Parts: sequence; structure tokens; C-alpha cells
Amino acid sequence: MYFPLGWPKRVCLALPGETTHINHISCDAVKILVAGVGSDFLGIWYANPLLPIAYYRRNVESLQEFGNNQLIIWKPDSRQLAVLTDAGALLLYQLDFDANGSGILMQVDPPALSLKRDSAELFIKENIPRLSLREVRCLKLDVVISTVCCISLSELLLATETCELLRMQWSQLETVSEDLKPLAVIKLRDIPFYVQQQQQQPAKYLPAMGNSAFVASLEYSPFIGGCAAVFSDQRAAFLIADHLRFETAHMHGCWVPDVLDASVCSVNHKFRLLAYGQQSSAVAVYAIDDATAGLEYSHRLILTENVPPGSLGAVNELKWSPDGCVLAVSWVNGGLSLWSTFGALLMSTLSWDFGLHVDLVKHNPLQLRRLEWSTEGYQLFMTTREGKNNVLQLQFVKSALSMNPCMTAHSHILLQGDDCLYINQGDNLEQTYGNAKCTFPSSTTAGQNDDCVELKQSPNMGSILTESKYWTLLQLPLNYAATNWPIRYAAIDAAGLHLAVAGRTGLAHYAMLSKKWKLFGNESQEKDFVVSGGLLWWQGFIVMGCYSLLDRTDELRCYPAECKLDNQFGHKLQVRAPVISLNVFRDQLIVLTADGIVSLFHMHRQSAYNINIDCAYELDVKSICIHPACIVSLTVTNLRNELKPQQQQAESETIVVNVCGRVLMIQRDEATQQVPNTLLATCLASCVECFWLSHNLEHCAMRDCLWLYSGAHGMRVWLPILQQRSEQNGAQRLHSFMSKRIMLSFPLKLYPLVILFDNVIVLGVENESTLYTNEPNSHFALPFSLMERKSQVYLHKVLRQLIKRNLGYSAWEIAQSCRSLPYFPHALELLLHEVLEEEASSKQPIPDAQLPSILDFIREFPVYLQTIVQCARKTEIALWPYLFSMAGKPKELFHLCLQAEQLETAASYLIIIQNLEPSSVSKQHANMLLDIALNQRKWELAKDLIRFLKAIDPNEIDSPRCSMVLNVKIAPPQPQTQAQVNPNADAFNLVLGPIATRERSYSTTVTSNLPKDNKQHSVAASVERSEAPSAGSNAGAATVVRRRSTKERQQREIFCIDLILQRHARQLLQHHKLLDLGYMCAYLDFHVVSWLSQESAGAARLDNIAAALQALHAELQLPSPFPAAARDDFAQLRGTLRQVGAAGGSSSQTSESGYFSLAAQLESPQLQPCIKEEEELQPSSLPIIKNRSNSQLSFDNFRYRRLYSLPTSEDDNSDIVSSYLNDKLAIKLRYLLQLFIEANCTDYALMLSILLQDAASISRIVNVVIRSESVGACRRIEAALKQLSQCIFDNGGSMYRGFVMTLQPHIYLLEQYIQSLGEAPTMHDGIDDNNELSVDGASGLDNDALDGSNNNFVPKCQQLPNGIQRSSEQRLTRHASIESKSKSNGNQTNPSSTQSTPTQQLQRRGSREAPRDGCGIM
Amino acid sequence: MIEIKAKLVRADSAIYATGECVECLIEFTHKLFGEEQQRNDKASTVENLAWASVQLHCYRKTSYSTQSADKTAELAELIGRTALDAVTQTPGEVIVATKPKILFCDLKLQPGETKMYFFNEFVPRDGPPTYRGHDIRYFYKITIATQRVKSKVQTLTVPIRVLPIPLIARPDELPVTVETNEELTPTNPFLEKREISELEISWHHLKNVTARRAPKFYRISNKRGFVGRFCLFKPAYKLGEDIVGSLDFDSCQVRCVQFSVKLQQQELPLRPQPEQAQPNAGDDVASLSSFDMASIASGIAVDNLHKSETSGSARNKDEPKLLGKLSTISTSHQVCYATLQTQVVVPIPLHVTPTFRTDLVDVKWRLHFEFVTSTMMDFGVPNPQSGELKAPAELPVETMVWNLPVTIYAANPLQIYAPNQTYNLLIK
Repeated sequence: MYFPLGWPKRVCLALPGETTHINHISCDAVKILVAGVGSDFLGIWYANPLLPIAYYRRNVESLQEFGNNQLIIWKPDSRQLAVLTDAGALLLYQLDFDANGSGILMQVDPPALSLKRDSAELFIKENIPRLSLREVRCLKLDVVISTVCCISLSELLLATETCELLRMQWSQLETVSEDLKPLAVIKLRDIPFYVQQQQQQPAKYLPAMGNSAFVASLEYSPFIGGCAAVFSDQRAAFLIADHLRFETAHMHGCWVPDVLDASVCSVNHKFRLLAYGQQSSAVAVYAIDDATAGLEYSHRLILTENVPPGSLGAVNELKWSPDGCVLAVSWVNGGLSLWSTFGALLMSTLSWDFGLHVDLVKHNPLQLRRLEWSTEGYQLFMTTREGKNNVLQLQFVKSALSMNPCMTAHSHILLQGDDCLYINQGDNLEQTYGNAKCTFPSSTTAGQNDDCVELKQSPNMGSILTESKYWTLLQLPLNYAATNWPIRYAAIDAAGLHLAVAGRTGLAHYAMLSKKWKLFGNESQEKDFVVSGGLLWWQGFIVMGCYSLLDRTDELRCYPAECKLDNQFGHKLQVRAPVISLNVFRDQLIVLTADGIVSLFHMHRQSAYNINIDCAYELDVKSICIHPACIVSLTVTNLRNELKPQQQQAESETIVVNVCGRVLMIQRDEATQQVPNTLLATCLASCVECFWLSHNLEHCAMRDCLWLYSGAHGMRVWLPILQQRSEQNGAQRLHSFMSKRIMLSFPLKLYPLVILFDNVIVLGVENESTLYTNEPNSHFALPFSLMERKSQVYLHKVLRQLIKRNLGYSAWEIAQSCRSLPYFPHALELLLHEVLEEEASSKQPIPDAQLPSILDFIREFPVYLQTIVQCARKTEIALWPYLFSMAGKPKELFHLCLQAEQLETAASYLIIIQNLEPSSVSKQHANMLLDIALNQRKWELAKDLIRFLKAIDPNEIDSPRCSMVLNVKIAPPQPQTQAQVNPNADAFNLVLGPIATRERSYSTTVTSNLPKDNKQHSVAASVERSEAPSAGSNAGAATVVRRRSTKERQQREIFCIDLILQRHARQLLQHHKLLDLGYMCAYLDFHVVSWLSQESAGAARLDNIAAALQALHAELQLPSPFPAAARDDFAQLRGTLRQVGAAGGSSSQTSESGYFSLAAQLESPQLQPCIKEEEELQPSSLPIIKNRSNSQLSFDNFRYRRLYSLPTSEDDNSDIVSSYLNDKLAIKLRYLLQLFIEANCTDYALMLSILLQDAASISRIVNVVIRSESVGACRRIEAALKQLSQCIFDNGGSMYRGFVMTLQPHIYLLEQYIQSLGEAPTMHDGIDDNNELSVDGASGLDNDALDGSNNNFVPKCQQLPNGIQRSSEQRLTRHASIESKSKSNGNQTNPSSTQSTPTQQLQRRGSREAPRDGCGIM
Repeated sequence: MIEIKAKLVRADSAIYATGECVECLIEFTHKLFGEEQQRNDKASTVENLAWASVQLHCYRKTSYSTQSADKTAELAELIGRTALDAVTQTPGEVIVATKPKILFCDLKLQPGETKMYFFNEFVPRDGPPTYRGHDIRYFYKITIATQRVKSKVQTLTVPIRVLPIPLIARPDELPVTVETNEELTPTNPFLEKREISELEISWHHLKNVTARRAPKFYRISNKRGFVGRFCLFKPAYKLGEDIVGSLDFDSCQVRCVQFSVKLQQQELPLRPQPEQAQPNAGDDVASLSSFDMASIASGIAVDNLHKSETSGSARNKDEPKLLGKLSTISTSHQVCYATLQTQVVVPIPLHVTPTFRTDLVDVKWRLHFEFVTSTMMDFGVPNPQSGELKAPAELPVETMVWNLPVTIYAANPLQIYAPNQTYNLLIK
């Protein structure tokens, strides 16, 4: 869990002002000092801040005699260093602390005030010790020393090229005596070597090693009790001494069995692992077998991602981090990678984005030689192989878990850098009130509405998936960081509101809410103790293990977060030995101390400032571990092997310990037994890096589970088996032999840092990189490392394992508990997908296929249909037959979708049908769906379906899947039924939106290989054969014809689609659903004008214009045009009011009370179609009601005024139109009117003009009809107008009354014209003229209408009695410029209105008279 | 007893951008408590509220002399008409107020009954962001007011944080950001295009502005020679981002021993504040003068050796630049004695207020650099051919200061984790 950040820093470790190549860098045991060697000098640096302390440069003679510096070995007390030269000599350096005088490199400000330092952080508080470095001795043995390793404070091992190990004392090196006698000379050729831990029969003795072989690399670990060694002939070994005294007699070796090409080795102390780097670029990791003390293969690290095999070269450096949590590996050909203890890849520079210009295979810009971890693993020193200034320093942050494993219980990702903390709060789910199902009134609706809305039911707490949140970066306060750098322990409380950190000494804590740090008020108190073993939050207290420098005792301390950080508020409890690890469960604190004793304490919170801690029991765990330091983590829990009834679980009775990666569970035998017995420890798993316990969960059924992460072995969960309730009573006794728990394992793609049990999700962090520039010379040409939070759902993996083990009930329970999660359907899909991929692509036959049971499982959930199709769309087409052989025929599923009204899902199934069935079937289904989609007004879907149908390539002859003869026989008139899929992926994307992730490769051979298709094919073929004799040459001919006429067929194809559309359009027209027709034309690219002109005599005829108008009003939810005649106006007014009340329903009622009821609004039946219809309409739906109610009232007023001959103006008329038709609707209707006029559908045009009360348009229509010189058309129009007038005067309350009055001149005109035509029926000329004129007229109207649409909102009243004259004028000026035209329009508007006013007044006077009289007046 | 509970729909971050819609659920419950329940067992009284309304206010609290007293008075007059304002114990001047929305009139609640209302309101697009500065504070509150018949008006306030989304200066840029559709049939009224709100375009615009563009290089040198080269990859950032720059000390003539980069917020009063000018000068003099002594030249790119003076190098500027109130938000400090190339990463915390400007105050951001340099490239003595070389006890240093303005914009509020609690009020 180490993650790099930023670019590597480039540092210069050479003598001041010089540049040299650095051969080796090494930190001392406490990581305070850094030593670096160039070929002729040794430099000692302070680690942080990185400042030089002393150098020692060797003279030329020394270089000639002993060779160049190669390797540094620190003595553990940091007082001495040994430098190994490339000539095999050893140089000893002494480092002396210079007590006199203060530190060095004290920065001195100049006297000028302006040049002085200003900020506090620039005054370095760290006192850099004054050290002097001197060369003590140069030691050249008779033999060449190949490598050196330090084994204890006093001794070190020298490996020589004569294959001996010399055990020497540091003090021996110092003494300048001539005869240097090592403590022991271990002749490796004389010690037994074993293979495979078979100690009885030494397999290979040394001679096999060859005379020239010697130890090339050596590392010692006290916990292992031996050395890892790599020989120069590339064999790897493990050298152990029986008595921890390295002498030939007591030593033996183990060959590492499978590693014959070792290059380097490294030892992990804490987890007791040996890692051997190999020439093959892999790293083999071995554990120590406790029983035999031999080697046990653990895992292997091989980088496969983004790397061509063999391109990495040999492993040239391995380094475990100081805490043993990560292993850094570098290769000869470049590259660096980080692996977790048990082999999870954390980072690899080979997957970094180096930009286009860098080919990592040919030349990796990051070719490293030596690696060295700095303090606490926050930095990695890297030396590049070549060049001067070759030292890079890469910064890391690490998970708080690596040092403080008690942090596993929390749901926040906490990472610690050397002086800062990174926190990622919040999970993937954004908490909101109300989820997807519960929608609030959209903001636009409510925005127009002034008041708030009452909700009938309280919305549930929902959640939506969000992108990852930003990292919160907390910088340590300067006062603390300046003297206590770096952070060692960090802890966050369960709520994520408090943080605590402990550095070199003391501690500090932070409150997220107040954004304030709390430090010790008394700095000496801060300096007086060192936190060790762990730090945790418990109910507002910070609990830690620590060592008091003042009293020299080990203690447990608690500080309350509430009050000042001071010892007087703290609680102290002395323990016998240093605390190694601690953890808390409820109110129990478990502490492991270095003497191998685990103590359990009960904590009791007395007040916000007081806490009581009592020891419950102590337990000796020395028997289960080699050394207490090998215990990685431990906890106490109430988890038990078998499930206990709820009430007994109150007390924790089990201790779970991770010893070197082995998880042991120590249970208390019986309830009466006070102390758990270590003898009863059971090993649950090995190779465990980290474990989590899930206890109290709100939602998820996976309670009381133990979660283990084991690196390369993936995640494991040890969960109790739920029993079905019916079985719970009796059966439990019967099957006592059955296991109560089960261990499931599954792989994880990311390194888990937090498991959110309730959300069945794992959170982790991944290393990402971004390239800032391509400039190859600048140092930022390397990628910049970032951290990205990632998450992974594991639900499907658990479910699959359970179903596989026939534990369907548990799986169902778990799935059921997670159903509310937004990604639940996705998890099901993943579940299906994984199983499908695995089983369908398996080479061997599967004895018990899992797919059927998985499908049955998914069928339990309502998302079954979507899941199947989503999964299918994301898998190879080749796997589909297998899937659908189990899941049900796609056709059936398609029909199920139709039944469930899941049209979108049904559309997805079309693709599958397309690929698995003959194209005729898919076509048929597509047509079926298209029909339904049209009926349900799913225009977008219909549009996609039409594109889909058009995308079918009609040239389908060669397809083996279908027989065209068969189809031709069945449906001869159908132009083309076999179609192959358009291989162009776009065609699919058109239908179902872009399918982003999936690669589509369609191949007929693949599909035709499948048995099902073969069968179909053979059936088809046989049919064809049987047809052949009868049809004979016919079929062949047809084939040829078809091949030639692909284009024609395509056209017919489109023709077929058009038929459907036309049918639907006709239906719409018949039901006067003009708006739907408008939508249909708009979305479906339906050529409505040409269709309408065809239909002008058919469906577009209106026989009863009044009824149609009424129907249209109902459709548009306008008040009825012909309300029942009322006795007097007042009653009528009331009636309309009542009507408004009825129409508006509760809406008007609620508007009285000042708020608007959402639910009532939805219930209102009148509104329903409008709301359902189209979301776009929704915002406008509310205003319609309002406007309508207003308009009616105002209209009534208007009429009222008119009745009493109040002066009215033309404006009133326009007011009405604009008020009862809202703007959007009016624009739509005008657009439709335009269409109808263009198509010469005079009936509908007339009706729409009336609806719009557009007198100008009516006059134009009349003109056109007259000019068309067709008696029939004229009669129709006349009849329609008359009928309308009749209706309106029959029903006195019509809103069209005034308007229809103004139309009387037109009727008169038409009558006149019909009469004149009747007198002079010159048929022949008339027809010719007719054609010409109608075309002209149409285009003339076109222009006019365009004019009208330009100023749509200005109601023009151009109705003139001398209509013919005007229109002929217009025809003459038609080609004139638009400007003049608009001008003329403008000029004409005024006179016309003035002209019309007296007419209307006249009409009003005689309003009760018959319409014909009105005409007579004119 | 009636309990009023208010919770924001966006429970995980009570943060809104200007122009966004605040959605709030308001719950009225007739609560019964233990003894009350028994007492009222039979005579269970119906609780009654006369009215309730909700309004969003933006307040300002400032120590600046606001000359526009008449303006606020005018505003107050405007707002004062509403019943709500009459009772709001104004914690500051109300500078923006939305139209009050009425939840109900004459609400009757049976014992135990709960009614829930939904309130939504747009945060005014032109209002100031939530800001807590030295001399001025802007803050937003949703005020829920209700009244029983014949008793006092009671209010419940819910604070929200508002982030500024800058208005687009040139509206003619707008079409550029809108994705062009392949279908160009705008005339058909049946094909309604999704309205792209101005806010969406502003977000888009913001994304463009804060994208990484050509890096800018700055040559840093003082009178003793070349110190290093600083590179900043972009000048505008969003909240929560890291300001990343690189520093290259290779082939320097003056050794940079350590440096610190601070992200500072500058609060500049826009109107002359005569009484405050004096105390300000005291703490700013040091940095200002040192800033004059050390000259920093910056160039667009090193390659073309074009040097242009930044405002920093102008030592003889006639008037002392007004610095306003400075507050340091985050610091990046490095000891770079041995460093050849390194990076500067300054995090921008999520809780700060982005760059904004109102009629009273201008809040700006800058990076404040301090370089501690030394001309001592070696240890004061020549490096020996052989033998020991010890570091000297003292290292004479000089400090130079440089300021580089940056712009900070708002981040998406949903990405900021700031869980809010439920606010409630009990009316006895």
C-alpha cells in the first residue's frame, strides 16, 4: 500500500560543486543518516533535511591499491561504516560525533532586513549533528571479498571468492594487527546443502557448485536465523546455523529448489520471507516452514501487464520496505515496480504513460541500479545506471494500515505521507433524500410556480453513484512537524471527523469540523514520549501504546480529544514491555507486548475526560510465534467458528492473530473458561496481509464474516452459512457434521484499503500517471504520479462462489439485502458475464455447468430481462448461442419484454435476434416493436428502429443461416426478407446507442459453426432442395435477379417501412391526433407533405369538420368548441366556471390555498396524457391549465362585453388566441398548418386555421381553392364553413362565434364562384389551368405562410372581401423582394383592420340573426 | 408541540454553485412527549400553524464603510415588505433575497401527524459566494419562518455554502461550447432541443479555463546570478486541485538552500478605506521591501531568452501596491540544498473561497515564493584532493521573495464531501 507521488526529485550527493556518479546509497539502521559512495569518496548526509555532514575522499594511491568504492555497510550503531571496493578490499570508516560546537550549516541571515528570512518554516529546527569522518583502516585480504553483510552489533560476515564465509568482529577490523584471524571460517563447500527440505538425504554437495562459484549476494535476518544467499553461478540458497553461531560445523544450507537463475536476494523480517530475483525477470518468494525450518514456496512476482515477455531483463535490485509491507523491484533493462508482501502489484513504471516518443521496450528512461528506502519508507533513493547526478528520490505515501493495522474497521481511506495526510471521505454513494424512483417536481416546473409543494410521503434516503471525491490533504502543523518529522502512526475515528498522528515523539490531533490542530501545550510533554505499537480512537479518546522517555517505562495512554492535550488530562497505564500492537473491539482493548503476552483490557468511559481501563486477562502467545515482532496484527472479536444464538454474542471471546501472514483464531473453549487457550489456536489462512471483520451491518446480510486479503491469492471471505428458516429448527441438530462456515476466495483488481460491507464494495487506491510535457530533456519528461481512488463491487464474486457450492439460499439472502444498491443490476450482469465467458470459451467439456443455476438465480429478480441482454451485448457473438440455449430463446425473451412493456430492452433483444435468427424474423420483430413504439409514442425508439431496419443489408443471399426460397414461398409479396447484418458497427450503434466498450467482430463462419445454426441451415437447405424440383429454375433466376437488384430491393425495403409509417399516420389522422403526427414526422423523417398530398383525397379529407374540431379540442385539451347552449349568459358564465373547476380539478382548489399539490396534479385524469406523452411537454403542461382557466374567464368577459356592445378592438381577438393556445402549442399548430397547406389538404388546413383563428390563412385557402377552379373543392370548403357556422350558432357559447362571423364573406365568395363555374363549365381549359394554378397557388401560399411565420405572433387580419384581387396582386409581386412585400403587408394590415371593424360591429348587432343574413349584409 | 425539520436533498454536500437549485425538504410534525401524550390522551388537540414561508437570503457583514447606505436601505425597503424580514434577526445586511415561497396557510396537524414540503430555489446567479474574510463576510441561509396565531414568528435557518461560478464575460463564445448536433432542423417545433442552461455553459467554460495549457517558464535570478527556473503548467485552478510546478536548479550560479511556496488569499477593499490604510502597512513592509531588493525576472520561455518584467521586479514603482489582508492557506517547504530538480505541489483546500469580486471587495489568490539562497557553492574551502571535508558551521544566506498571481475557480459541489446535519426547531 505504498503509492508514489509526483516526479522523482533529482539530487546531487557529490562533493559540493562537483558532479559524479554515485555507486551506492545506504541508510543507517535508524534511517537518520545516509551514506553515499562515489568511486573515490564517501559522503555522509543527514536524511531529512538532506544536508551534507562530511565527506572523505580517498587519494589516488589508495584508489590504485584497493580499487573504487562499491558498497556500503553500516554498523548497526551508526558509528562505523565499511566500504567494499570493486577490487574486493574493505575500507573501514569511523564516524565520530563532535560534541563541541552546535550543529552545522546553520543558516545566517545577512544584516540587511530585507534579505532576512521571513517565514517560520524557513528556520530549520532540526539540529544537524557535527560529525567527523575518518578512514580507520584499509583491509585487503589474500582473497577477494565478494560481498559483506552485518549480522549483529558486533559481527559481520564476509563472503569471499574462495567460497568461504568469514565471520569477523567490527572491532577486529579496527585493530591494526597484521594477522587478522576471523572468528570463524565457514567453508561453504564443507557444509551440507539440502533440497526440498529433505534433511535425511543431502541431495547435492558443494562440488556441484563448481570451483569458481562463490556467494555474490548475501542478506541476514535475525527472525529467520539465517542468510539468503545468491551464488555467482546463479543458484539461490538459504544458509542457516543451528545455534545461531555461524561455524562450519553447525551450518547447513538449503538450495532453493526452483531458482537456478538467481540474481539478487532480499529478506523480509516481519513476514519471514526470502525473495530471490531471477534472470528471467521474475521474483520468487519463499517463506520459512515453521515445522522443518526449511523453505516453503510462497508466490512468484511476474510482471505481465504492458510488457512483452523477456523485455525486462534480469532483476537487478530488490528491496523490502522498512515495515516489510512492500517490495521494490527493478530490472536491468529499466523499470521499477512495487509489490505488496504477498504479491499484489501496487505500481509499475512500465504501465506509466511516457508519451508517444518513448518506446519502453527499446529504451526505458528509468534504468536503475540501486534502491534504498529512506526513513519509514516515505522516500526511495534510486541510482540510475549511467550518467552523473544519477540519484533520484521518489516520494511515497502509504496507507495508515501499514503501520497501524487496527485501522481496518474504518470506512475512510487514510494515507500518510511524511508530513501530510491524505483522506478520502465519503463512499461511492452520494447520500440524497429521495432516489431515482422518487422524483421531485422538476426545477423548471416549480420555478414557474411560486409556492412550495407538499409531498404526500416522505422520500427514502437514497443514494446515487458519484465520481470519486477529491482527496483532502492535511498538512502537519509546522510546530509539530519541524521537530517530530516524519509521521509514524496515523488514525482516524469511525465517523471520519477526528484524526490523530504521532511522529518521532508525542502526538497531535485534528478535528475535521473545526479544521484545527491540537498540539501539546507543554512542549516538553510532547518530547517526553514516543508512540509505539499503535494509535486508535475510541469514543473520543486517543488510545496509544508508548514509551516514556522520562520514566523509561512502557505505557498505555489515553488522551481525551475534547480538552487540551496535556498529561494532566491523560490516562496512563504502565505495561511490562514495549507495546507491539493493539486493537479495539467495542469496549475491549487488546494489547500485545514485546514479552509475548497479549493482554485484554476493558475500557470504561466515565465522562468526556475520564476513562477507566482494567485488565481482564493475559495470555501468553509465545508458543504461536517465533518472535512477538512477527505478529502483524491482532484483534479480539465475537466471531466464532459456529454460529451462536444472538444473545450470547455480546461478549467477545475470540482472538484473531496474524502471525507472519498466517491468521490464527484462538477461541475460548467454553463460556466458563476465562482465558482463551493458545493451544486451541486454529489456522484459518496463510499469506494474509490484512484482515477485516464485519459485525454490525445495516443492510447487507454478510454479517460476522472475516475478510482476508492475501496479495496475489486475492481476497478471501470466511462467512457463516445461513440456514433456511424452515430447516432451522430440526435440521440443525441432525446435520451437526456440516460445516457452519465457508471460506470463499475471489480475485480483486485493486489493493483493498477499505471494505464497505454495507455497500458490498471495496475501496482502494491505484497509482496513475500523467505526462506533463513531451520535452525529453526536462526532468518532468517522466510521468507525474498521482493517486486515484478506485472501487470494486465484489457482490457478484461472492454470489457466484455460493451458487457454485450449492448455497443458493445464502446467495439469495445476500443478494436480496443488497437490492437497493444502485449497482445491483450491474453486479448481476457481471455475475452472468463471468460465468458465461468462462464456460462458453472452455476447451474442455464442463461436467457441471454453472450457467443454468446462475440464470435461475437472476430470474429471481425483476431485472432478469435487462441483465441477459446487457450481458449479451458485452460478450462475443460467438457466445450468444450458449447463453440463449440456457436463458431462453431470444424471441421469447423479446415477447416477455413486450409483455412487461420494456420496449427499450426489447429493442436490445433485436440485435440478438438479428444475429441468431434469420433476418426475416428479426425484421418481423422489429416491425412489431416499431408498431408498438409508434402506438406508445416512443418516437426516439421508433426512429432508431427505422434506422435499424434500413441498416439491414438486403444482399443476404450467401448467408448460410437462412433460406430465401423458404421465405419467398411464405411471403412472396414481401420484397426482401433475408438480410444479413450490416457489418458496420455503426448500424448497431444507431439502434441502441453507442456500445462503447465492446469490440464487435462479426463473422459468419463463427456463427455457422454453431450446432444450432447448422441445424437450421440444414433444415433450410433440405427445404430448398425439396423445393428445387418444383420451383426449378425459378429459384435460380430469382437469385440472380436479386443479386443484381440490391438497390431496388433496398428501396422496396424502405417502401415497406414507409407502409407501416403511413398506416400509423393514417390512424393518427383519423383520430385527429395532429400533434402526434407532428412528432412522428419530426422524429421519424417521414415525408409528411408528399404523403399528405397523396392522402388529400383519402384520410386527409374531413367530412364533418365540426366533429373533427371537437375531437381536436379534446386532443389538445382545450375546452370544447361547442359548449351546450345555455339559457342566459350568466348561467353560461357559471357553467364555464364550473367546467374550469372540473378540468383543473384539485389544481385550482389548491391554488386557492396557496400551494400546489403534486400528487393531486398527477391524479388529475385530464392531465395524464399530457404528462405521460412527452417529457418535453411537461414543463408546459402546467401553464396550459392556468392559461386555459384564465382565457376562459377572459373570453367570457369579452363575450359579455360584446353582448352589451361594449367597444372592442381587434386586439381582443388576438388576445384570445394567444391566451388559450400557449405559445409553444400555437407554433406547433402553425407548423402543421403549413404542412397541410403545402400538401394541399385544404380540409385540415381550414380546420387548423379556424383553431388558430387565422383569418388570413383562411382567405388564402379560399383563394387557392377558387383558383384551382375545381367545383368539388370549392363545394367542400363552402360546405365545411357552412357546417361550422351552423354548429357554432347552434351552440351559442362557442368561442369561435366571433371568428366564424368574419368568415361569412368567404362563404359568400365561394358561393358566388361556384355559381359562376356552373354557368361556364369550360372543362378542358379548366383542367390545364387548374393544374398550373394550383401549383402556383401552393407556392404562393408557401411564400405567404413563410411571411406569416416570420411574424407569427402578430395576428394578421388580412381577410378582405376582395380576396381574389389581393391574391392576384400578390402573385404578381411574388418575385419582388421580401422587403417590399413585408412593407406592403405592413401597409395593408392597418386599413384592413379598420375596414373589418365596422363589419364586425354590424355582425355583432345582428348576432342572433341567421348566418345567411350576415352574408346578406356583406 | 410542533417540530420543524429541514434537510437538504443533497445530504452529502450542503454546497451549491451560484445558479444551482437548492432543494430542501421541510417537515412539520406534531410531536407528543411522554407525559403530554398521557395528558392529551383524550383531548388530543389539533396543532395549528397560521402560515409558513421559506426564503433564501445572502447576508453581508463588513467593517468596511459602505457608502451605499441608500442602496441597502432601498433593498431593505424592498425586502422589508415581506412578513419574513420583519422578524429575521438579521445577522448582517441582507444583500440578496429570493422571493419568499409560501409553504402553507392554516396548517392543521393531528397528534403525531407529519407533513412534508418541498422547497426549491435557485441560488442567485449574480450573488457573492460564501466568504469569511477579515473585514467582510458573505453567507447564505435558508430561512423558514412560521407563525402560530397570536404568537411570535419563529424562524429556522439552514446555512448553505455557495461557490461562485463566474459569469461568462463574452456571451458570443457560448455557441462554441455547445456540442453541434448533426441534425440541423431547428425550425421544426416538434423537435425541441434540450435547453442548455447558462450554468452548464459556465461549467463547460470553467473546464476549459482550468485545463492545462502551454507551461510557463520563469527564470529566477538575483543580483548575484541565476538561481533556477520555475515552471508553472497552468494559471487557473479549481478547488481541490494541486498547484504543480517544477523547479530546476541545474547549472545555477547561486545555490538555493531552501524555498517555501505559500498559497495566499488577498482581500482587497475596492473602495478607499482611509482609516485602515495605516495599520496594514506595518506587517507588509518587510516582504514588500525585500521583494524590491531581490529582483526576479521572468520570461515566457527560456529558449527565446525573452525577458519581461513582472510586477515583482518593479522596485521603483511610484505607489506602494495595495496588499490588502493576506492569509496563508497552505505551504510547501523544501530544503533543496542538494536538489537539482524538484517539484512544488501546493494543495488548494476545498474549504476556501475561489477568486471573486464584489462591489466592496476583491478576493485574489497568489503564490508567495521565498527563496533562501547562498552564494557559497562549496564549503567555504576548496574541495580536498584527499581526506576529510566537513560541512561548515554556518551558511550565509539571503532571502528573496516573489509573488505570482493565480486564479482559483469553484469545483463541482458534488465532489466535495461536507455532510450536513438536519436542522430542527421546536415550537411549543
